[in-house]
Amino acid sequence: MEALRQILVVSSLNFRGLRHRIWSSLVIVGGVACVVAVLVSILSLTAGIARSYAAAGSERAIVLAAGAMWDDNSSLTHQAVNFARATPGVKRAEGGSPLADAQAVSSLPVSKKSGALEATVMLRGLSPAGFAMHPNLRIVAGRMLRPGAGEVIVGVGAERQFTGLALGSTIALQHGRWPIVGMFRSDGDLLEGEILADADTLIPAIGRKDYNSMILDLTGPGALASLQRDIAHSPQFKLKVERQSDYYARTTRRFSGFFTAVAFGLGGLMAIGAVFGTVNTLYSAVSTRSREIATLRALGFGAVAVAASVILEALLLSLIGAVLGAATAWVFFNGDQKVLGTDVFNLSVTPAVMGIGILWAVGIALIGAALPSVRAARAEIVVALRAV
Amino acid sequence: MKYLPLVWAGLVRKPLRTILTLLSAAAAFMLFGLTLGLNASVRHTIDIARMDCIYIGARFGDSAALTVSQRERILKVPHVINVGQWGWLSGYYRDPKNSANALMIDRNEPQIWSELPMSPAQFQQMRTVRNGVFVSQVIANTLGLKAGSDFPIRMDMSNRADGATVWPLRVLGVFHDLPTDPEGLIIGDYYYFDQSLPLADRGKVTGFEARVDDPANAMAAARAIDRLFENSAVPTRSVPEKIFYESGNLSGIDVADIGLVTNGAAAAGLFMMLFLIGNTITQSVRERTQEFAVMKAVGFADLTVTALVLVEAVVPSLAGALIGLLLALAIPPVWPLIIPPSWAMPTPHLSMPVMGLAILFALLIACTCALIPSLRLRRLNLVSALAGR
Repeated sequence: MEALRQILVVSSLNFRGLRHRIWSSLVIVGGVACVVAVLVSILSLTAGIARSYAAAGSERAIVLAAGAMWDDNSSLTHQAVNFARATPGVKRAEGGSPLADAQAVSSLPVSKKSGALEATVMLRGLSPAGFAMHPNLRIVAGRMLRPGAGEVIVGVGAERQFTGLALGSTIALQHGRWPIVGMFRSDGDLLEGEILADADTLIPAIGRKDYNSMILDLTGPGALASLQRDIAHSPQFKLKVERQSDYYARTTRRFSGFFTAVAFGLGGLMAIGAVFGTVNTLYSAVSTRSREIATLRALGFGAVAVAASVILEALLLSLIGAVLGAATAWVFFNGDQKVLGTDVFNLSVTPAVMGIGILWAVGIALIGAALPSVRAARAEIVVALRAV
Repeated sequence: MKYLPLVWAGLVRKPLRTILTLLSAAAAFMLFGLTLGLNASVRHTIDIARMDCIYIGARFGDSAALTVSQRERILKVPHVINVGQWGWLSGYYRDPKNSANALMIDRNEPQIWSELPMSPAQFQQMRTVRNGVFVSQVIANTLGLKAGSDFPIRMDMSNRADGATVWPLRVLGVFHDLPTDPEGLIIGDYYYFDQSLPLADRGKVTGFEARVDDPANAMAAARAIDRLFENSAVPTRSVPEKIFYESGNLSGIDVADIGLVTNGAAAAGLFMMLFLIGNTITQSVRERTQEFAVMKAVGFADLTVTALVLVEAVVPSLAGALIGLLLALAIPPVWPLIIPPSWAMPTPHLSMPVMGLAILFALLIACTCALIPSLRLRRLNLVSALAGR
């Protein structure tokens, strides 16, 4: 208790003196703010990537042709689709029909609104069950597409990023132009950056015969393994099954991997700079406070309390910096959108990302305060007092 | 020169402070060099990409949908002077994790893709040894291949006429990587590829590349090609190579976004430097106010005092910048270990302009930081300063 009381007294005395060192204290605040702003801004993109398929969950599986890496180079015949749909691990709706969504994907050339550059948007055909499997899909303008009528609905993310996808305009397919009859939201997931149609009408319209992939709702935790067994043992069809969240993680890995590497690489490098700045500032703070510290020590306050006051000063200043940095990142980037490959992602400054920023700041403070706090604790009382 | 000892004395007065300032400057400028270097190399791929070459692929994204018969029709489009084509052989080497994609090019393609660092003799060799391929250094390094290596590419489902799931390729040689293809290249023979496919799959093409007579005609020719096939069984999408790279198709990340991240981080680093160096020099001058007062009292001109302060700020900033740039230069060789080549992110290139900019900013920051303390010294009240007030 006594130790705690001492720390409290010495630190509060120290904090009251901070305003006399306000400019040099700003070095820690400003430095940490820069580091955290950069770190949190870039991580908001990786958080957005992770969030874009969080809804996919682990209770869903994707079926692809055995040799295919992605859905757009996979091909599933109607027979293969019917076989996979009937396997026991697939959940069924109340009426008894399997929750299985055979999809056809195609890409459509578009232009980006920013910079008018060439881009590609995904055009995805869902089965009737597929629409039912996306209860979060809400029409926000226009109406839902009618199956068989050759109509599409466009995600708000796709409309915001690409030209020519406004409600009422048409998209050019190989066999005719299809009208855009509605705009939808789906909680910012990947579909929201795509164009949706119904698969069975889309397939002939883009000159194909087969589906690309199939999404299955699983009955329970063990269902994936049994599904994989059934499908692997089928002599007739060469298919593979993967958890849908794993599939998304795999297909977005190079983006999330690159931005994670960049965030921690740059954040780490900047943190090194900030640590040196912190050490510098704290050393000069300790030498400014040398009389105060010597007096306190002469009065009987312990070395630990003095050292703790230095560490607490560093923590306080760098936390202020972290909050400023995270707030800056939030103001500029939260809710912003980025197009990576053909996918549209919503940047999100999540609590977890802010937490990483704050941890980073705490790390900078603790590493930066280590040596100065030792010097403060070891100060020769007599020498310091004699200088008065 | 005679002032050198004075500056030195100022710097070593608190050596720890000078060293810490220098090290933080080194970190900030290492970051500056790497980020702007990365941006420079991404921009470089656009600069060297050709405007007079047009990529032609299937409009709705399906690979191997185009047919060889389209070549003759593309050749007749005004301004098109030559057309090459390739097939895409996609599988993996030993482990599904090591994906291997070979570009199987026809005999016209080398004339259009003149940047490809392969000699006519090597092309000839590729036509003679039917399963022979040439690989770029990145591929050779990541997959451990060299000239003479067997290089079987495996796939889960056979696409060959003989039903085999392995393409028994053989490495004939290794060539240098191209900045436009940081993920590496595997180059093989189209005719070998095509003739190994089942009859029904032959005569298909993944992409064409057309050369036009003048870069100014590229857009018009690209549009004409797309119009030509608009209502055919296989509509095309034609994009001049430079536009393709400008659109961020290399890594899938928009060039503007790479610029935002790199420039933003570099700016944040410099902003941090402004705080650090500014604080150091202000503190150092404040502690020595009395000394400066003495110097002014014995007749040092204001300009000389300002210059002394300036040099004292410039030294750690500039030295830090140089150390930082040297450290940054050590990163490009280990870049493939940090960022896998398959992500197609070019290696940061610390070009002369990037280095020059770093030095310029180091000087600029030092000058900005020296401004306030030297103004204060200029207005110094000598009497009270000498009295220690």
